[in-house]
Amino acid sequence: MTIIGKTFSINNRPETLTKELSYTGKILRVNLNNGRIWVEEPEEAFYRKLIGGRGFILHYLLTELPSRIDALDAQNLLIFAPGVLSGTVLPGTGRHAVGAKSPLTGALASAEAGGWFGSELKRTGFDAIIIQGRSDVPVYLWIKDGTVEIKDASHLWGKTVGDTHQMIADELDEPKIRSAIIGPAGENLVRYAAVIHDKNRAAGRSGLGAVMGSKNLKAVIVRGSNKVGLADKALMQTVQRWINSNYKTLMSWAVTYGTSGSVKFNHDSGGTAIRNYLDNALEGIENLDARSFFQYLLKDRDTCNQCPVRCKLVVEYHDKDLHIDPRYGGPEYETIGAMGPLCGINDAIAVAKAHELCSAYGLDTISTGATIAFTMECAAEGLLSGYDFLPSFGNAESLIESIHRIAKREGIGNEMAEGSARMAQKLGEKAQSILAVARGQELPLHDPRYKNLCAMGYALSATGADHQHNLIDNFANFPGSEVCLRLEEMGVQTPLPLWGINDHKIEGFVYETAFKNFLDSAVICHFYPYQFKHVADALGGACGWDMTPTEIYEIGSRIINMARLFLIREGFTDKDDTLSARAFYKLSSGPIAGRGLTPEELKYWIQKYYMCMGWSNEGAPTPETLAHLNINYPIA
Amino acid sequence: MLEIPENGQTPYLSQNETMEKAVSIWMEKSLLGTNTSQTVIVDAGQNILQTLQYINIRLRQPVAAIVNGKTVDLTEYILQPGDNVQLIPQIGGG
Repeated sequence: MTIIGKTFSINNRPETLTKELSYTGKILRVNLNNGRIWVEEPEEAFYRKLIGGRGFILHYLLTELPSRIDALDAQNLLIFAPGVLSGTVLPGTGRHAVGAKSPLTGALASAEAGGWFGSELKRTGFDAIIIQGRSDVPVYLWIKDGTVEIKDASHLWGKTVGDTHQMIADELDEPKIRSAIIGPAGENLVRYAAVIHDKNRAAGRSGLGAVMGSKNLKAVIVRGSNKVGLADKALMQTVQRWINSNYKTLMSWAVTYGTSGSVKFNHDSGGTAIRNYLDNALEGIENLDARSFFQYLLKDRDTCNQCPVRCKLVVEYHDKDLHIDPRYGGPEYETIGAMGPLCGINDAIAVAKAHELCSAYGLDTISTGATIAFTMECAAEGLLSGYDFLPSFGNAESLIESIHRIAKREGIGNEMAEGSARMAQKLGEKAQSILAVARGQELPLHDPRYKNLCAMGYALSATGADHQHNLIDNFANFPGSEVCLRLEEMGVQTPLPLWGINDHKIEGFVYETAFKNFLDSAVICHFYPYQFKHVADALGGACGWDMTPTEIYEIGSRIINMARLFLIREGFTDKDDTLSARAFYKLSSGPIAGRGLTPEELKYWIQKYYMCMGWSNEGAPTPETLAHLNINYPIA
Repeated sequence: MLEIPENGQTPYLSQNETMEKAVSIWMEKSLLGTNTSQTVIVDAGQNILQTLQYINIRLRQPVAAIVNGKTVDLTEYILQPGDNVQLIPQIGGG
């Protein structure tokens, strides 16, 4: 049965809204099996308890997703969830989350993206979109204010993200659309395909693009004219005034070079893994730093809704053989780290091209770069044979060729499209020894041998290795840093020691990860130096809730516990809370020579963390912990 | 060997009689919010945070300290005579 042309409309024009809250109380539901579209209207308590973003994602996964299904099954849910702060006037809230069960890890997929999509979705009058089922033919979803339509996307299938965006804008005659699009990688079910927003903002990690591809859903397009309201404008303005007065000082790094200005510094201190964790330095690393490549690649700076910082890059390059399309923005630190040092490459133009290709095809740059680096080492070790092409360390052309092949699933690209963990499983013991993943997801570019608490965060994260909802050790080793200020609000003495893990660092980790999970639910940019008190006031301004910093912590802790329940339900145990072998490989020279945890040390501190969280020795939240946090989901 | 500060940089006068007993700390300019990086010469014997506090230098963002090519803990590593210290910003994400 065709679902193309199915429409749904609610009376959601601006004049019908009270404009007294930052949420409308309407959650859009779409079933692609039959084209049914409807709206749920949860009570206020739902919003206050879960906030949005990751909180919403976990609620729907825990209540509606059948246990242990294949993530590419039609029953998987695909959730676009801004939060109660998304789209408000507060700087840093131009973000939203996307979630599902992950086809890469079998665990939680919950990734956030900046830009304008989340804010624009709020302006359509919906607080989130929950998509289930699978269409028989390619479709896209067009949402304008309160009207929703399922439209044919057959002519868009196979197109790049940038071309798809433009073709939809043209056919709708709506040049100002905001978009969430998959490229060929998502269509081809690459297990780490991304959902790309507005052509250059990725909900990158854990394979959300493959989930979207499995549903034959090419795009979600939004355009809204409603205003996101505020319950207490004056209270919101107090937070706004504080950040507007201080961001140039507190976020000077973001204002000047953005994350790409940290490439050389992170490398020099040992923070960036090199050649699949084998080396301690990359010759020519300065080529990959913003201070060098801004001169010949930077075209412009870009920003997100309501953000004065403008940390994003727009790069462009043209010569007779190579063009870099500025529609796709520019590479951030993680992308540069994964495509550059991790692959032994110091060519900024090649790295920028690799970034452009990942955006055009719709690929997560971290998993793409890390899987290529893993394959480079496998090839060097002679573990791969019978292929017409294999990538090699330091060879920029082979990096670019690998990305094409991954997206199209050609040759070795078909193996790499499965991710490095599945490749290692097929290749055997030697390949397992050079694998760098947690819960099957490739490690970000914060070296776990340098940042040991971050390593524990990788092992524990319900999404697999992640640097965002984590505590980066060296950010808490400096008094007055934003992490230290937040920990002091919770009564934790700072700064924290740099090396290793101890009880004191675990206490800090518990509070900081709760805060980060709150940010991913609200949804707020992690670069902003907000403290618990600021976001509590912002919630008051947005929703009229009188919240304390402790309540903010409890919301974050609730979300971490819900994620833990989801892991248990999907069959994960405490034995999965670890890192693969390469993360424990110690370097013999360089800035972090001899540093790093042993597997036994990691296990010991994870047991301590369970205790701190009110979990059993097997890592399951106790009934008392769940009751305290008002969590009640069946996990069978 | 210690590097003597170049022209335009601000030396701090060590209390030691000989430079060999002192420590050189190079600070990247963005940490200071200035247009040029600085090198200061200080006494050994305290950790890096205590030393910066003592000479009244307030950095603006998280840093990594690299001493003689090795990354160290700002709060635990006690500066030794002859140490060469580099202080560089630590940011990242994205």
